[in-house]
Amino acid sequence: MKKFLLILSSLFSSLFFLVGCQNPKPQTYQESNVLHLNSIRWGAEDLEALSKMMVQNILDSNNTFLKEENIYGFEEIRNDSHDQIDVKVLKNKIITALILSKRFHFTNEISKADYLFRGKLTSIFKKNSKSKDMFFTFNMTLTNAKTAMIVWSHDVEVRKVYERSLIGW
Amino acid sequence: MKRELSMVILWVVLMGCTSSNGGKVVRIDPSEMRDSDANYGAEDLHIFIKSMMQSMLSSSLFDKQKPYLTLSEIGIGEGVDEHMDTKLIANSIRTNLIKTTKVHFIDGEYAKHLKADEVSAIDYVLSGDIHAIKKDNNNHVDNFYMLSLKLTNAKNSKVVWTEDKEIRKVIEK
Repeated sequence: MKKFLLILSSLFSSLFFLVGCQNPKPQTYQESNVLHLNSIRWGAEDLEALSKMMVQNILDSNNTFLKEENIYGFEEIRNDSHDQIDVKVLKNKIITALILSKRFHFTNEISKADYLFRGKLTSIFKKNSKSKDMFFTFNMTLTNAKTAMIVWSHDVEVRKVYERSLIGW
Repeated sequence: MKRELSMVILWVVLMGCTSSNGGKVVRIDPSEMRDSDANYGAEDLHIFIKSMMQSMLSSSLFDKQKPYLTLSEIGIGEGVDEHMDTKLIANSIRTNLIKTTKVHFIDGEYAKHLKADEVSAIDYVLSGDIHAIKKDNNNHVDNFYMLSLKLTNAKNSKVVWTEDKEIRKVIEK
């Protein structure tokens, strides 16, 4: 029995040494849109997913606000999430995608805009002994600058969970 | 015996090395009902929004006219001891209402920068409160949440619609 245990332990040790402990692995470069989840916190994947879903919804809207002669402004994106997030990147990605669609003209002077985009990023974070759960929700509105009427609004969400494995720490 | 013990320790160390992160992160459907504990989560937000929208749209309040609405505050009751973004609840309901095309929504914050005659007169104001009663003892955790919303006529302060949605989660320890 002792011999069997010894052989078994040696076998596992050798196997895990060869397979598992070859770190550090060589650095690799990832495309920003490749899903490479390694943390429950805010990451490039979330930036990519939320901006893409939001832009898609704006472009798919058959709303009357989508006229080429309109001038659009982007006020701010509020970060009310648990993470430190550079929301200016999110804002810039959306503006860039909309300009590239050739259907939107943006101005940096908010007072000259006909319509104003605004956003709010929020998260709900849960943590217990077995798992962590991060839910990001991003709300955007488009307001008519002359009447204060909200002509479009959309919410997009991403959710990630981390579950501890039985072995390891 | 010592040798066997040292081999087992080595095995455990190597196991830790191979899975130093201890688990994995996966992306899941945000609307999945996956309560990991009794605290407020994405599931509760979705239940609140769905329930309130169903009630509001079945009230026939928006059938005859397309009224002008604005958001007021959703307050937090004394029993709430965890982070709850009530503006998120209000914004989600506003988004869902705008998508129905049955109402007009006025951005109350932005309207402050305009002259009164430039902004359409508000018909209804949406406001509410969220409450929680939480119990935690040796045997179980019992969390109760209640969202109350109301629509008030902006001209005569009459409450034209109100709804409560309760959620209770009990976890045996």
